[in-house]
Amino acid sequence: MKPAASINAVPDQQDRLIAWFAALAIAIHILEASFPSPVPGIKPGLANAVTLIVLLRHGLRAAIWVGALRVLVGSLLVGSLMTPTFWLSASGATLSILVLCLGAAWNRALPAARLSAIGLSVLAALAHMSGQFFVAYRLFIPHPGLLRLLPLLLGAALLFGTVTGWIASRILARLPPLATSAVGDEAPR
Amino acid sequence: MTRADRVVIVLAALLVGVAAGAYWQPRTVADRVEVQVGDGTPQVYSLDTQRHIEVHGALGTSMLEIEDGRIRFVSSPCRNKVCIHSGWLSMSGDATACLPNRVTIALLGHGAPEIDAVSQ
Amino acid sequence: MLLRRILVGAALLALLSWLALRPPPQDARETELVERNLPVLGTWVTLSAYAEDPALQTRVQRAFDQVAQQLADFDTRWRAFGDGTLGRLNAELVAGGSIRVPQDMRPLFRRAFEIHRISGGLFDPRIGALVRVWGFDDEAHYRESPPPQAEIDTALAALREAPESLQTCPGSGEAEQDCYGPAPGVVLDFGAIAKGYAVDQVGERLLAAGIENFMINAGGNVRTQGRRGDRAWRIAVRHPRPEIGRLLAIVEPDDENVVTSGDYERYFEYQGRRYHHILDPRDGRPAQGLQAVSVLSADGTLADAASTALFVAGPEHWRDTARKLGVGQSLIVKADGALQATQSLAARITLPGKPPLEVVP
Repeated sequence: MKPAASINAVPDQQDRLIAWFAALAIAIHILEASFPSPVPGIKPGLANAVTLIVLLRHGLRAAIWVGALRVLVGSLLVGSLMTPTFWLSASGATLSILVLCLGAAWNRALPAARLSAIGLSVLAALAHMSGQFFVAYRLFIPHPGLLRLLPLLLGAALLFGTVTGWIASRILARLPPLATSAVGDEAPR
Repeated sequence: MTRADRVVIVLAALLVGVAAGAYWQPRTVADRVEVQVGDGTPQVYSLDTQRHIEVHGALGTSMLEIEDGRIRFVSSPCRNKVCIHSGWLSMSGDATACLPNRVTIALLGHGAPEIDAVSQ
Repeated sequence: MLLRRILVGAALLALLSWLALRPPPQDARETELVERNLPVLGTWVTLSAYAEDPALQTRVQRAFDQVAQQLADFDTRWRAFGDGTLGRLNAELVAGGSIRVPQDMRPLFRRAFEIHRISGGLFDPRIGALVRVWGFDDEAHYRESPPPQAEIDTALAALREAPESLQTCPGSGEAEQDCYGPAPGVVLDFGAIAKGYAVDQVGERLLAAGIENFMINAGGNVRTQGRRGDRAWRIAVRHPRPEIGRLLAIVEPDDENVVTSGDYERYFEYQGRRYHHILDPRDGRPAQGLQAVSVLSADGTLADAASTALFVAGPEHWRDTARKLGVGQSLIVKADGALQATQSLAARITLPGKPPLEVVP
């Protein structure tokens, strides 16, 4: 990666990579925005699959860029920037990235008990949903009735997390191998 | 899929089960609705009387309509009108909100199970 | 290789676009219920059928189309005033002539007059003129104060003079009694029985079409058949005083009708008193003593007429009248709000809020 001191206006390989992945994540974010949801604004977070792939192949910094770009630009394009939906997305994405870091750290520390893309994705999806629900419940609909939906939302997160994790692992297996390995896990064998 | 993955999935499933045990309630017919603006005091309205309610939120006025035991958003100053698309709500635990306008409505009930028709 | 990637990409794009652009999916539990709302019989008639299988759903839709036509015809035919068949028959009667009942109208005519007899006159299909005097025949005629006593007296007099039952048609040699009149000033009005009869007819039509799980709600006259998927149909009875509560009772009918007559459906208030549309044929005024009567019966025509007859009978005599008419399942709300129910019905209903209920044998 480039040293932080120099600022180069010409996009390099890394920038292009981030841009490409971010565009993909944004496209998924926009499509997801038109899905109906039992709680207005809460989404399955399918774009997190992209963040996961980036994390596993290109490291934490790239993943944070992709995640942040997806939330900001995606919300801008959907028209939900600075609206409650935006805060729900942002909190979900933040908690999700945090959990993915922890997952990656776990993989490095305990390679015997390695989590593949599937396990990481499930954790990320649960974190994403929990983050959204927490914000929704504390800030927007502090009504006990909302808790009725929590089992449903968590169940959906588990399902989506498993599916996107599986898709991500398939994609990772197909992508050409990198020159250097990024974080403790790559294409699952 | 690694062994750790399987453990994660099982633990996640347990979490969902615990949440279901703790929070799942059968749907019952609601008889009143709680309307709240931001974190202000919730106002409770009965669902028996036909009426329109004007709610003044952060962006402007949302209009609610109560008729025959159900309630819906009729108009709201938000852009996406998600609240209006929720349609009629009638079961306890149902909730919707106009998040941009900070208006939330939540239905409370007294335990009567879902009704198909009313003889009158 | 490239081709395959393009195909997969295109397929994914198509899938995601479809997901994004399609209309929001209905609640899962609603897709098995086929519904139709018809503005007819002076109210909204809702038809619902439980059908999981798409072929059955199509059959249901076609049957509903037929029912819509059936009800529209029925509606025009049985209007007490106007250009429909009954309207023209009534014009004859009012002018002092006699009428002959058309073939297809005979079953309901006979049933109505039979119930008139058995109920001791409490249910009266000849009550149309009185209903008009009170303005309850048409929203356009709604009153804000009671009509002059003279008008009530005129209508009552005409009623008392009129034949109490159908008569043999002159010179026809038939044993059947399908004629009526002369009855000057009398208007035949089947409003208190027609909906129940219509619901019976619709029910038969649906059963004949092989539809076994349905619900008909004709402005509060409810009939259920079969089950709603994995549970029974649940019908509530509306509380006559909504400021107290919305639902009075919940019952799961067993291929039965639930019909309610109440003082809250059509009424006006004048000087603190409520004047409602269920008139007592004996004195020409709104019947006193009860707020609502609900009747449960497999016979919709009977349930409809009986709910009116019991309402007119009042708190002292409803039980006797119910016995005479053969309706064993009734729920009564008295003028003071107290609840009574027959034994067989009390065992089947749930009362949210658990108010005291007097069980009458």
